[in-house]
Amino acid sequence: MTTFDKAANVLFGAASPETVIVRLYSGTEPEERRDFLAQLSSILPYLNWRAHIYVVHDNPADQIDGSSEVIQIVAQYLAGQKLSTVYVHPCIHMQSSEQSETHEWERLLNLMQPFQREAYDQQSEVRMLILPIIEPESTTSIETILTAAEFFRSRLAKPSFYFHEKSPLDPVTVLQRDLRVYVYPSPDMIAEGTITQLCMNHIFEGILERVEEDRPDLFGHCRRHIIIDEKDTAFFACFSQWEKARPLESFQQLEELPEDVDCVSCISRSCLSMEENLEANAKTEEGRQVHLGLGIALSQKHLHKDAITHARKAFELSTNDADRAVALLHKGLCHLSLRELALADETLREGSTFAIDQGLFSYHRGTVQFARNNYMAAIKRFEEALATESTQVPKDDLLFNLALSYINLEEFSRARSHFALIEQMSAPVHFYHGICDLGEGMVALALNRFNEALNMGPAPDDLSRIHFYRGTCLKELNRYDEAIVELGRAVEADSQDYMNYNLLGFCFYQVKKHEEAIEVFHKAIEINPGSAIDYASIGSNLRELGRLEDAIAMYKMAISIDPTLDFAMENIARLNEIIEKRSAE
Amino acid sequence: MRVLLIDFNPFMVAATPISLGYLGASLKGHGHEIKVLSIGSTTNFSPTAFKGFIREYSPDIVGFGTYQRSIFHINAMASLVKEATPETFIVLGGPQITFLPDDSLSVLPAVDFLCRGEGELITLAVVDAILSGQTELPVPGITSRNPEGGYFTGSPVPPPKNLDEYPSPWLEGVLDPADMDESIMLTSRGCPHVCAFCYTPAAFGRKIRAHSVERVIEEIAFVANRGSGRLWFADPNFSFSETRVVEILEGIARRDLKVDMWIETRADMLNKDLISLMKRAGVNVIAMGLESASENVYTHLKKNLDPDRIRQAVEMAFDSGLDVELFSQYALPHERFEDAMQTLNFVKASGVKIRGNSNAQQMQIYYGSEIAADPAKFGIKPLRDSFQPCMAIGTEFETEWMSKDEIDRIKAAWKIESLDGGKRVVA
Repeated sequence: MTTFDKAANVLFGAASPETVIVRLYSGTEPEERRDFLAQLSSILPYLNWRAHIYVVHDNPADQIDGSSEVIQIVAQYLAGQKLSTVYVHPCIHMQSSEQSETHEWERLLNLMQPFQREAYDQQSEVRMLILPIIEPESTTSIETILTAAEFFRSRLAKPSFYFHEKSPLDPVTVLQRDLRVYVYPSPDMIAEGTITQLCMNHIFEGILERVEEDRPDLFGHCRRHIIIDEKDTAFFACFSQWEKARPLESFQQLEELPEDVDCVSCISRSCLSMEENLEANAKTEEGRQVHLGLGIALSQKHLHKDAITHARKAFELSTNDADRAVALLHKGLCHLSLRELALADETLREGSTFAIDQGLFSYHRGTVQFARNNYMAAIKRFEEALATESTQVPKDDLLFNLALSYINLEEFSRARSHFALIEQMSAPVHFYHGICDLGEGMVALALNRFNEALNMGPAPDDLSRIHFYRGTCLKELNRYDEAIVELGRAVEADSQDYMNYNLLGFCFYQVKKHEEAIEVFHKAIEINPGSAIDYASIGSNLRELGRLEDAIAMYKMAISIDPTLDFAMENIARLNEIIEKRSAE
Repeated sequence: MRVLLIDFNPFMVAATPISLGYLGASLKGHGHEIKVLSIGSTTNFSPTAFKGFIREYSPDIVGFGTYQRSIFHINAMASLVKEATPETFIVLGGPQITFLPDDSLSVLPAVDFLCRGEGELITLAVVDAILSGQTELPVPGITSRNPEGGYFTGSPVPPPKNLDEYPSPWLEGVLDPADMDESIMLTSRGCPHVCAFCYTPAAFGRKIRAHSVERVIEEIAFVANRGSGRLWFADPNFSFSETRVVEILEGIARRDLKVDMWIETRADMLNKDLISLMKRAGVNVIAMGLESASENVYTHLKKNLDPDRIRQAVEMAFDSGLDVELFSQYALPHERFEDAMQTLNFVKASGVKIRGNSNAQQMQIYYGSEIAADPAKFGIKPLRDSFQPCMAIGTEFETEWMSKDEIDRIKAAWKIESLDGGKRVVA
């Protein structure tokens, strides 16, 4: 879609409904029917310039008459139009033998003759096409079904068929004869089942269109499909609202969709219910595309479990190894996001068996091992990925992860050698490069790297860590006053990071600002109440302030949490001695 | 003057209205207020909403980019415009309009002017005529109704030899690539070849006129930096001059522009070095016209291109990591069913994926082509005794060599082999 199309959509106002499902009932009084049809007529000018109207009736015996009434309303509307095409899809029950019904069908189709003649003679762009949905009885033979198809097709009324449980038609026949088949997975012949089928097929097709056009709004609402129920003339803004029996108060409300509509769930569920339809219409490839597209979109919304379901479907519908590899790659990454690391690794391993290019799989298997803290295994996978020279692998990311793995093994020089190969420098690259320098005791160099990281405009989440390590470097260089300023910035960037307070407290101690030190150690304890070292540190600052009893209490608190804190034990002994000595004096 | 330019393609999703963009740039350069809309098959609007928009915008002129197969849709849309604002003038333009018979206006009641030739200058003449109140006199490059019930056709307006005289729709801000998924570029016009089915040489001349390399690179840089970088070149022969195309591609590479390009060219204009340079510069897809792989057929098309040469070009492109699209047609002169199947099998064997533009289509006969001028000479048998004056034969024909039934069968054969159900992008 281009800007201009978007602009056009905006210029022409709110979305015009493209599909209307009209639900009719038997036994409706003529006057009520008239009122209902008048309501229906009033919305026709607001439909999209190409619109579909489906007519679903609860009683097979009344389907033709009910549909004819709707068609006449549409015909009256179109007679005064210049540019509109309305496709009317009456749902029609078909007996085992079509012979007795053809005159009824003929009667229905005759209603579009004037429009076809007009369109042919005048090349008018006002069209009405009747495209019936035929629902054969389960005993109807394939031959009879195909004869009926030919009957309609020869009258320019391309039919669809609606079957229960399974389509008797071979998908190749469906494709070759350009038919459309709906398969409702239940033997029950109910109008609600038909509406459900129509809606989910429309939703699927809408998503397919968005996937094919590579549109980012896969989960945009589909209120271009509305349902109108003859009972109380109820308008439903979409399938989801119809399922929940939540009608609009008026048609005008369509412009503002209720906030509680869960499009993501409705779209996901509808597309997952399409299995029989896809198979019956030889649309498995389209199904694969939709499921893969939905899987990716769902994982972008962090709905990884749902994404896995769609990725699995995409895998099942794949007909070649390349598609299988893509589906499993995506599924594996979803498991990784959910920290289901064993499943992630197994899925990626399986996916790699289908892939020609192993690079991406090795890379992501490396990230799984990294997440498991198994850095040796991660390095092995990352090295494998590097060796493939795959263009699919983001090389800088690969080198970065490889370096990070080495950092975790404290092999800083190896990490540094990989950082050196990265082309696109970034704040994280400078930062971890600095960690390497710091790890090898090159404090001044590390400080420069952290400065670089800061200059590159790091992500807000990374800011606190960068200030913290700058503070660490300054502390190592005995530049405590500067370290205090830096750590203050770290606290400002992240007031919940316990480490910031801990180090800040240490620096205050070093410059003998014991009151300030005690304050920040208390903050550290607030965040991390189990931190024995911070209690002990408070103790040391109290000691320096001469508050020996208070200091002993803090050291005791520290030991109660961590009995291995020897220096706290020593301090208690030493301070007790001093107190005793003072008492003796 | 307020001018609304509408590209309405009821059969495909909306695309960059590049031709209208040129017109818009020309009009804008003369101080007129313009708006360009592209409406496609998936653009959602009701007739009521469209009329509401027209009433609100109230244009003095609405110009439609028009093709034969959309002409009645556009006539209907023009009728909606007239219903909303009866005083608005309606102009139809586009290469196929250039060749329409004058009395086409008799079946296009909402249309005031047919633009014959390149619209950049002719639209200015229309504006001048309206401003000076001389719309009932002949307007250069225009066919219109005269007060006696007949038609005027004004004197032809020769297009400029130097295409750079037309202001750029991109650089002048008429088209904005920022929100487009893909931007269409048009760097040259005309074609020196004389394929019997094609009207391009008649519409734009056999001498190719091209924008200067500097202008092209400047446009590409602007579009690439501001938009998605996906560029679709509408030039009939992007590589008609190897020197020029090398300069353009090297310019793109030198400026390190991040682009993903689709180009169309003849197979005999490609060589390994050029393909390699294309790849480096960011070309991802090369489209080539195959038309037919049968010797019984292609020798009659005056295309002068052997399928073996196309096969080699496809292989070279694949070897360089480029994707390839092949344009094919069926129901061509001298083509029997077996010949048409030979083309399908050629495409399958070539490794080109049958989808998008590589879906074949029935030959379409439009005014301006050699076949349209004398269909019988090419064995064309129209399926109707007569056509509306604005309608050439289009696809409503069978041939001496292929019946309607066989045409339908070959269409079905292509559809079955198609990966996308036969949805072609370029008509």
